[in-house]
Amino acid sequence: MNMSINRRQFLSYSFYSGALLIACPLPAIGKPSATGDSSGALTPLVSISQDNHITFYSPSPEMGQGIDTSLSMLFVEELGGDMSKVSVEPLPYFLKRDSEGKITWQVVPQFSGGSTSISRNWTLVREVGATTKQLFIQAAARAFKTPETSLSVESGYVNLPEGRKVSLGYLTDLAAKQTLPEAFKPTVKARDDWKIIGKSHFTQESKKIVTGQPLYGMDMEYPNAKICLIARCPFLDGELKSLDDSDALAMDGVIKIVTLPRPDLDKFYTYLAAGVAVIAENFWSAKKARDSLKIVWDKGPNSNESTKNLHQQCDDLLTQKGQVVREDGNYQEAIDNAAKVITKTYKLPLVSHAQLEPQNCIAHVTEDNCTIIAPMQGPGGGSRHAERITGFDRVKMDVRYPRLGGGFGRRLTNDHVAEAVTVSKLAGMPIKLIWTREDDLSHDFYRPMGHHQVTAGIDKDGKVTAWSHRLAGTPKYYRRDGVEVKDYFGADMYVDDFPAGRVKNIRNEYFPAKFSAPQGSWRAPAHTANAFVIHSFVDELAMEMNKDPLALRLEMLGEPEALEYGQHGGPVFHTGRMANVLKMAAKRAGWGRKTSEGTGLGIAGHFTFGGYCACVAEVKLNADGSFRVNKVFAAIDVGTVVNPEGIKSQVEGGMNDGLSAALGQQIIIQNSQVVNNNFDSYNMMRMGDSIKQIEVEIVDSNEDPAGAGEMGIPPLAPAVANALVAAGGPRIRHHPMTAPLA
Amino acid sequence: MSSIKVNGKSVELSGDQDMPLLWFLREKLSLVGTKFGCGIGSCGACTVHINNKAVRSCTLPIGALVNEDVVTIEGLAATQEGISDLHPVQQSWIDFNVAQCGYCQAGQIMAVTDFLNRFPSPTDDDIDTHLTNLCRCGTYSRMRQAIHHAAKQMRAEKGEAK
Repeated sequence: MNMSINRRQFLSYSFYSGALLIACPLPAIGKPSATGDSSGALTPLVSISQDNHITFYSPSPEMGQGIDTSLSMLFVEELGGDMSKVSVEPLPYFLKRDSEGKITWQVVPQFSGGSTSISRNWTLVREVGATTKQLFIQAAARAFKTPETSLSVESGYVNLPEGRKVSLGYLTDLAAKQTLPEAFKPTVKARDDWKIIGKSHFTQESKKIVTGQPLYGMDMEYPNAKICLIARCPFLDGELKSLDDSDALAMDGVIKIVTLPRPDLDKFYTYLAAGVAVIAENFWSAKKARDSLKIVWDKGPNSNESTKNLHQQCDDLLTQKGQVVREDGNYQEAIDNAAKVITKTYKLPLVSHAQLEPQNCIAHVTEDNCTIIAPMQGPGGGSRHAERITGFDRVKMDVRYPRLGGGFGRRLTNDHVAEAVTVSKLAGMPIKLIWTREDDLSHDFYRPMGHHQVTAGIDKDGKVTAWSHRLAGTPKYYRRDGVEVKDYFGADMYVDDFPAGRVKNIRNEYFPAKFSAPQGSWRAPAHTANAFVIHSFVDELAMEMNKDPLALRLEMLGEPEALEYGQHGGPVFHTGRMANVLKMAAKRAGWGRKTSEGTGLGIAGHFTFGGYCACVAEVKLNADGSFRVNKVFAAIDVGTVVNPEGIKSQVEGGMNDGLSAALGQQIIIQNSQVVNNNFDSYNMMRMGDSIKQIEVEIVDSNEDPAGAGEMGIPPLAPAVANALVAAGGPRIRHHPMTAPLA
Repeated sequence: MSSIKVNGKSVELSGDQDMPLLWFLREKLSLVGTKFGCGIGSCGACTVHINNKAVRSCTLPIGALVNEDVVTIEGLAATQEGISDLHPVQQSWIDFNVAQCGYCQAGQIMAVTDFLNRFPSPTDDDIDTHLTNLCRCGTYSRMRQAIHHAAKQMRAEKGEAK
């Protein structure tokens, strides 16, 4: 099955096909082409066919976050198109070399991660839309000999004088030939004129999804590509000692077997494990052959590692003095003078991404080039790996990223791409690498684990005057290119998070634990852990102080004010916006109402990557100690609302995802191997434990838009933990909430 | 070598008889709507109908099949009488904008269509107990709404048919 057209085809389409590519200058990246090409810097973000159908080429890989829909809305709004006639395809990979030989994106960065796709493209895509509209206005003015000022574009048509109109499709040829006036600057619509932005739009791909059309990397085919499975060394940093592949080679359908060297210790990961790659006619032959390999592994330098020991290590680290990563005022003095000191420790495990589509990658390394087709959040990173492995120019590579069957940060690291390219190069043939679920859970870049010790000093007036957060855990930046150990904390402790700036005396300490399992970004990275810790602890403080948990939060947030926020999502954290979503969620939930026996309400709100999200969870505690989240009332403020439906579904999904991670998930490692490597033992939430009903209220404002893919997760787990206590249950200070740490 | 029906067409079960039906469908028949998720029958992404019952195809060897009637997501609507375009469950999935990444949804829909045949007026408890497919995106709350809606549509259609 072919996914979209490749780059070369795409370019030729723009010249020869009836579905003409609209080539329009990109003022936002605005450099004329260095090659002296008279067309200037062109963008291939859209094509409009003669039957008036708009195809928008999205620069942000779609992984379920709904970015295809929202980016196309921005474009179509400014163009004056009809959203019911819009489809979205991934923008073909376009790199170029600038005049200094540096590689940059030809059109616009092609990437999804950190909830940045909306904020990065907000102005740019609208301006491209407005520019495209101008081309159609010019075309219509010329064709119908009428002044430009007499024309407007609406719902896919240019309105002509006297109530006549002409379709964009009809004008496409002519529009593509227009030259913009020298001084042209696109003007985007005023907010009051929006017809599409701010209204709910559904996923355009829905029908293809519910009818099982080939959309994902796993569904892609490539001429002569054979299926590849890799037997990876199960021991972290172990390597291949000996291999007997005679049985495998004798099996039907087995084509070739190649070995992959172990990645260098203490170097940036290209891929994760030494291995033996089996290439066969089909998945089942490859799987059977892989199972038949007789391999002796050298267990390597970490063969005694276990998560049990790792938790012990973190307990021990917390008894020592760590790296002070934030110090405000005089913490020690404030603690010494406090009327009351409260300390609690919270523990979180390693968790896996477990996106439903296992890793996969088609790779074809030829004598002078390389093709990659894979689920990737950052195709640029994938091609960088391929360049290192093949030595070929990545500007020329054919790189394609179909719809992702879940991303969640797993496809930010392109280890699957590196593996597939390596195997294709060694085997000298195109291959389609498929990971099994066991491969996926055993060789992930896990969400870092950590033990968090939080202390608050309260003065005699009941005010929090001292605050310390000490974290011992596995650093996400472990083995990152160019990151020094002293900077490890930055990915796991966001030092400007609440209550920084609101408590006078603060000391944050970090202790990087030593552990060889790879760590990575997992949806809303460190916010998932930190929100659970901080917002559980605030509730514990409220109980100690006999204050209402919402009232204490509002008191601690203080007056509405923009506080400096230096991490991703800054430059400011606005206390008023946080207080507002807390109050909205509380109001919707009827905060303070009397609940039935065994039912409790819990609240939490968190600032994640520029978005403010709060929720109240309603939890029913059963007599046997089990519990169920019956309802969640959420409120979210991500600034200007592009697609309300998109935000709503992301919050709903995020909340269930957050619950799933909190309830049962933990990666367990014994003797340096992952032991719970499939869904029978890695405990993901199913319908029976899911949140029965979620209400989402959205704040609309004129603030710059943030994304919405990650904001829903962080507040959920602490709200549930707090609700459980309100329901008469125990205070749970660990994930998984329903099982001991192992 | 036995043969089965897949979406109404007769198909010979050639090749390795140990091969799970999932891979036969995906690789031999290019019916890739049925998804690989876990390979142990746990996540349900590979759910198909066999003789009108939802079955997880990733652990079912083709050698165990004789004359069965297999329906995949691609054939769900077409193989049902009176449905030309979309099954009410598929339509409900669109109307409630259920899918996020969408990878698990074909399996979810196959599980739900069978479930609604057995539980035409499901309670929330029925849904909780009998639907066990995984969704990492967390679309469960939407699915629950879509299931209730589809059930209503299907009941109404049955009523009309009488």
